[in-house]
Amino acid sequence: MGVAAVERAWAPPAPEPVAALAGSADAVARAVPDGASVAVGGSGLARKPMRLVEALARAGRRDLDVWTGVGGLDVEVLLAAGAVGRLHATYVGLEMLGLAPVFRRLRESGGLAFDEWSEWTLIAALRAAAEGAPFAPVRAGLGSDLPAAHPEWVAFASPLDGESLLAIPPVRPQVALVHVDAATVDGRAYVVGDVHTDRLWALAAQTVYVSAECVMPADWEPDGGRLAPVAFGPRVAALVEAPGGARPGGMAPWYRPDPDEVRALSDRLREEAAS
Amino acid sequence: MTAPLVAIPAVDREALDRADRVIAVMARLLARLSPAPELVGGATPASHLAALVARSVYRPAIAVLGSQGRVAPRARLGLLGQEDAALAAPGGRVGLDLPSIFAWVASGRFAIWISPAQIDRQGNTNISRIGTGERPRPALVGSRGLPDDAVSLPSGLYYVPAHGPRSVVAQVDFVSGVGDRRRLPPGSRAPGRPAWLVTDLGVFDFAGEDGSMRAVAAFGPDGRDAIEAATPFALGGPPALDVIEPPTPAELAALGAFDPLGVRAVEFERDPDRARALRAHLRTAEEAFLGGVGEDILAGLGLGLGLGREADR
Repeated sequence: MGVAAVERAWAPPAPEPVAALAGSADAVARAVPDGASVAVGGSGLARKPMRLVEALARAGRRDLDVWTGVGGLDVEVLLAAGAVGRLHATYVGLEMLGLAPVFRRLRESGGLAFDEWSEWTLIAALRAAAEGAPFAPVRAGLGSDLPAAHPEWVAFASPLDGESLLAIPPVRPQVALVHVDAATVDGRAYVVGDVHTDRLWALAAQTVYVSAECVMPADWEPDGGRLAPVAFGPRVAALVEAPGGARPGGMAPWYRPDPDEVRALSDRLREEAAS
Repeated sequence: MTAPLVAIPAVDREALDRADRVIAVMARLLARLSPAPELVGGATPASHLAALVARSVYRPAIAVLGSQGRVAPRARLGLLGQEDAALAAPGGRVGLDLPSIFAWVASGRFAIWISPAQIDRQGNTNISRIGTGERPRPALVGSRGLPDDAVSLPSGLYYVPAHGPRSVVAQVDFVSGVGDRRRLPPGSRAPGRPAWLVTDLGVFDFAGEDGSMRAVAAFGPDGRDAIEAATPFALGGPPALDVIEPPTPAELAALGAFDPLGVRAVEFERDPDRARALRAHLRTAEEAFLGGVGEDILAGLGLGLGLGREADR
């Protein structure tokens, strides 16, 4: 910053308008380029940003570097659409409804670049990104078959006591997609139930796209501390109002996953992927 | 105690009895862990129930991780509608997010019964894939938290609802969770160790040579023979196995109270058709029970349900 700018710093700035973040899922999908690294929040069949994910598939995105902790139908939608270049996850499945058929078939045919993570190694990578650290030290994964597939994880001896550990470098997705209970028009996003890993995804990503069950005015404040903030500020680039936005998965305490609809979508995706 | 609102089909009585026997033992072993865990998670119905029974019957200081990351002493399987009420009440949100839960895991103050698709002689576990090489068949779900639990938890707890050569194996096809300490790099001070395996046939520890599996107790008087017939490697342990006491009235009462619908029978049902029918029945029963009001109980049932059966296909 130049001297002139410093001299002007105490002068009253021009008021900025409230950010106009309202947009459509399709507009979000157009803003995500082919080949982008995209993180998907939620967990399993819980609070997945399904409308945003479906828009990416509809837009014909290709070669996405898709990141999620516990994947479900979100990953199935993207895989069935051929949108995924590489998948990074700890788990992909339909919870009590069994395996995820598209994920399963692609792995079995050798047609999926799948980076298998554990929950702690992934949290460590996101924490390193969020904190601006060069790596996070963990014991997680030692002795398992995961490190062999992760050349970027480096074994090292602790400089303090010599313990053998893994250095997990930061993961910084270009884009994070999260679905929340409520968000204000200027992009403060809140969750009532389980936050899962969404706050870390939002911290680690360069840009955050939010879909919300309901959109609130800019001066709205949640009551009683039951809503946990997960994302806010200038990196929240768009907000999509999406009631039922996690369906056919669930969103506690508002709605549960519908097993029949989950199965129906899963079957449809399997056929789509096979054709 | 809450009476079942919906009768469990008589055809599933055997599966339910199997579940009760296994879960009661899981609860006892959990209650005796030393050092005591501060927080106990539940990955599956049996896993969740073992924690709740251990807490209510034996060890009140155990905190049970409920749905939505809540530390929920009154959590009930199939009664999670009550948790909705707690969640919606003012100040009712007291959940831990995943990074917080992993602070308990990493510090070894956590315990959880895990149902792997495969467990081997050294206590290595696998939920990633069957078959080695580029093309697994079947490809399962991915290792999730198993690599983390295995290196962190001083007492690794595993159960297998149907003991057989597909689930209890000489060597896992993929190491999701390490049991064999010799696989750890020199200089590792990972405190994690496999402690117990409970199957529908008996109880096993890992106190054999080089941490290998031993049979230590059985559900029936001829247990050793049945176990050896179902296990594709030589097991250590005494020639005559201790016989496990059946579930006590207190354990059964707790199981009925926490799982009035009998969700626990699904994991222990051996006939795929009956398992499917039971799931459909439970779905209807839950709808009637919860009145269609929100809580992702079904998702909360976790990764183990259905996994073993898929692997057997």
